[in-house]
Amino acid sequence: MAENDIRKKPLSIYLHFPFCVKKCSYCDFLSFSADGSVREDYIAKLIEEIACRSGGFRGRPVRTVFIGGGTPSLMSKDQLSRLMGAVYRYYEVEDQAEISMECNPGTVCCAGMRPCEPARLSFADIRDCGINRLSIGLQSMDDGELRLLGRIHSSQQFLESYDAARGAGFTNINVDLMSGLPGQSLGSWMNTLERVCALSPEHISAYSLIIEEGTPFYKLYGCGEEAGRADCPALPDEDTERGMYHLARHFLRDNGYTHYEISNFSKPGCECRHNLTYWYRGDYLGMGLGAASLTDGCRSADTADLDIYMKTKAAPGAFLEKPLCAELSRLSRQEQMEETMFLGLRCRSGVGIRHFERVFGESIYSVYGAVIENYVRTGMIRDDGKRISLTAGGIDVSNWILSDFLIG
Amino acid sequence: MTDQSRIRNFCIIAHIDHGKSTLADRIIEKTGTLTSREMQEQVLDNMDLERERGITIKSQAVRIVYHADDGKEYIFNLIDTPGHVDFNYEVSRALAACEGAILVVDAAQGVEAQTLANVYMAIDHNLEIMPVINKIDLPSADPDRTVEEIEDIIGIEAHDAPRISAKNGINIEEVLEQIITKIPAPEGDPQAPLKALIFDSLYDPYKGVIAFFRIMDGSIRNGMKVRMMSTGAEFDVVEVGYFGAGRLIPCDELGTGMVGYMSASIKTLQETRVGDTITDALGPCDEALPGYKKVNPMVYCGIFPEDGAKYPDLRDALEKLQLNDASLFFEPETSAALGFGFRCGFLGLLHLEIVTERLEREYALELITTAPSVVYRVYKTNGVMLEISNPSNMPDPSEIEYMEEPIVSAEIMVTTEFIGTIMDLCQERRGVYISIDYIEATRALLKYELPLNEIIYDFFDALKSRSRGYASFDYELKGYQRSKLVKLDILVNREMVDALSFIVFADSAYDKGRRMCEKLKDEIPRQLFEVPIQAAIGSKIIARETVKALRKDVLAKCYGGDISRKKKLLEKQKEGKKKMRQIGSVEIPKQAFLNVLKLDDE
Repeated sequence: MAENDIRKKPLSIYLHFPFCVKKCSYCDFLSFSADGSVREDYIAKLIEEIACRSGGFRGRPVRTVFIGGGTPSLMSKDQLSRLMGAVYRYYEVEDQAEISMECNPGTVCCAGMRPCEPARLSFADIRDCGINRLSIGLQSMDDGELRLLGRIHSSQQFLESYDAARGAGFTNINVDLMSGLPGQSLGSWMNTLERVCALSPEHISAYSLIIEEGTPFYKLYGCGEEAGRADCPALPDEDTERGMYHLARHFLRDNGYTHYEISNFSKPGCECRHNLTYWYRGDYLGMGLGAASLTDGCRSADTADLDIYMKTKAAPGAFLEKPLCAELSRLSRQEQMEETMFLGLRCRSGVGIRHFERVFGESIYSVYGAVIENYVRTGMIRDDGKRISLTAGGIDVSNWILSDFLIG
Repeated sequence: MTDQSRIRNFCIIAHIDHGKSTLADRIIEKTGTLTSREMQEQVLDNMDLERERGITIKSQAVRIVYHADDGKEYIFNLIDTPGHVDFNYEVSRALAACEGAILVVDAAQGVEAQTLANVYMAIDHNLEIMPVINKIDLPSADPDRTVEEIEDIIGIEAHDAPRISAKNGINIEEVLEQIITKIPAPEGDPQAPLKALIFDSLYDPYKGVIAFFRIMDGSIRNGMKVRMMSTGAEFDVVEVGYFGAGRLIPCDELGTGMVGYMSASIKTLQETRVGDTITDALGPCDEALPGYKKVNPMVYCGIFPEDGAKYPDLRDALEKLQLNDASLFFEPETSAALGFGFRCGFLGLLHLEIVTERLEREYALELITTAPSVVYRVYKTNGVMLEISNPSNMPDPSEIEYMEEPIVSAEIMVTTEFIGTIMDLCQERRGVYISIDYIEATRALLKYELPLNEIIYDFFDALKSRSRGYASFDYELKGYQRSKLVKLDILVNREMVDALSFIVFADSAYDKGRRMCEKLKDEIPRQLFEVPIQAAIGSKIIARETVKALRKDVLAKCYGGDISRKKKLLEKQKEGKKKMRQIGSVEIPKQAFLNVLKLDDE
């Protein structure tokens, strides 16, 4: 079978585009604003990396491609076209591959809606470049909440973008939403959910806001303190926040979405195959600033320093050496087991008992019997004989539980 | 050998900060014992800790050669003494080695509570008191009034006391001359068998134990065989000598009336005790010197190593400290919460702080200390009396007839404007008013009796802050008194945490229980289930708080680039769990114990 032959083992590709118009108040991703020439140089360097690293992956079928950022939809048509061209030229992308790109409403030209700069991408352009799945960052249908988050678009602009995307023929669209926002109520969250569901996207990612160090939100809300000032509404309390999460779970399920991972929902068959690769530990090759890879039992990551990245001279192996390669480690068997558990348990279908045994040659109970039993007893984990998975209550405190799956 | 008539053995006693150590510095400097360049400020305080805090902990001695006005050469043996009330025993042994005491009084502050305590002790040892009036350079100095105070309160002549400024080196010569005229030379029979009083000892990694002594009769030579009279242990003397400032100077022999040291390959830590008598093993003296006693600790606490594996290191460190500190007491103790450790006894709170600080600093130990407690007397219904310092050892309440707690008599010197607030403080601490004496229009001496457990922690601090630093305070154990005491227990998740048990005065129990529950609630991290925290007396719950169950601990996003960071976070979480002490099913961080046991600021 193809999976057993290392040389033919499937591969996923991730490409990072680290540029944005401006940073949102909560964002701690690797992204920043930069002018056109910087972006152009970066694309050229990324294409070099794509070519350079392909040597190690000849013959491996590429099942998914994901262009993430930053705001990939800030690329020009020419840049996107050359980028995807390089991927097709150097890798064997399957015909049915899932090829996703992230978009920010308000950056993509919506034909007929308002005048655009000539260089701006349109949805038709995106389709022409081979993209067959869109991920649109909405976050909220409440304009007040959008302003608080520092988003560059309005809910109206989102609706226009969504229409335009459908109009351009996209049949696989994901919408990103956020709950637990300052000043948000169960009511406004419900409103966002209802209005998005009415559009019937194939996939919805609903994230609880995380206050990350180094972001403007951290200054206001860090250390769990609520600001509660006039210009700075308070975060919802813990019970309300969990309420929002479980409300989304139930509402989306009632509207035909399968809850398949902690924050991810989709119509049946429309799960994001690229992200499943992360949680089920398939191989993925990440290229671009700060991009992470897991290939042939090794984790690695590109540097997050733009200067270093830009200075790297294209040569086979160049992108895997320090200082360019920020991290490189071969995973031990124990580490692989741990990852299998703390990633696999993020998915509602959890970890297969027979799968674990096949991969590691050891029963999951001999490694984790005590932990599993403890949490089954307290209702946090479900064991149906075939799969180990988290219960709904277990999801809420999953970090606490998952730390017990680290050995030693 | 030096003519015995030209020896003077003396110490300097004073209230804290009146200038005892500075005067010692000047005397050393003036007599050329150390050049100015070699002088370090307060050179006799050669332990780092002492220098940092500006106090003297250990006795140290120095031999000074002085060329007097009469043309003759004299040997002064200056013995430095601890000034703090906690170290009375060490002070008393140092006094026993002297013929006289220079009493330093601050001309601005006058006679204070501890001045009196130390003077009485010196008088009890039949020392000649030589008063010296210091800090005459200060604008608020009033030497004449100070002379009057000394004569009225202490009852010794002070009209010809040298008026000096130790800091500025003024009039030190007068002090040196008066040492010769006022302090008697040592008596003692050079022909009699060796009889020497150990007033201090030191452990040296190369030489073993070094004993510091004063020879009362006879002499001590290199190579002779000596015997410690309290234990009977015998040793061959490897080295004898005397003290320069900060260093030991070996010689062949020391005679009657001299102060010096010896090393004799004494390896074990139990064999040289302060207060013991050294004699000639081949021709011993009849009787040991009087006054050797085992001191009784006043304050106890539990000391546990953070890392259980370091228990032997802690034991070794305590043994080494005990060598130089005869009044340190310790015995093994176990706690379900904290593991294996020791119950330690100290002369007082400063002693406790210094020992724990030395353990942490000199021996690099990380420690958990439980709150200080005193020794209670428990009278059982079956007639047996128990002395309890560890709450875990208290018998069941049904077996207790009544209890007693130690009481001290305290003397507090205070300026009149603060009399009211200080009396309030004493009342708050269950003090019983005894008397008030007005020393002069602006100062009074308050006498109170107080329970020891009310003053062992922050009474001194409260006293100082309420009197803007002017009050001073001295106390001694008066005896035991019947009292309504109860054992307060803390239960976490319905299981008792023995390390947090307290014996408290019954009427304070509710308050204390409530405060401990509140504090603990803030310290215990949320668990997957609700955790009740309760304070109980016997089976009766008197206070309760609840730690809510953990509701949210989840990572919403975890994609390719997040995985390494996620793993690190989970590892940190796992490490954090390991560090917590498991009390039944609840994980309590060690810091929680420390923060709860640290008594609150009032």
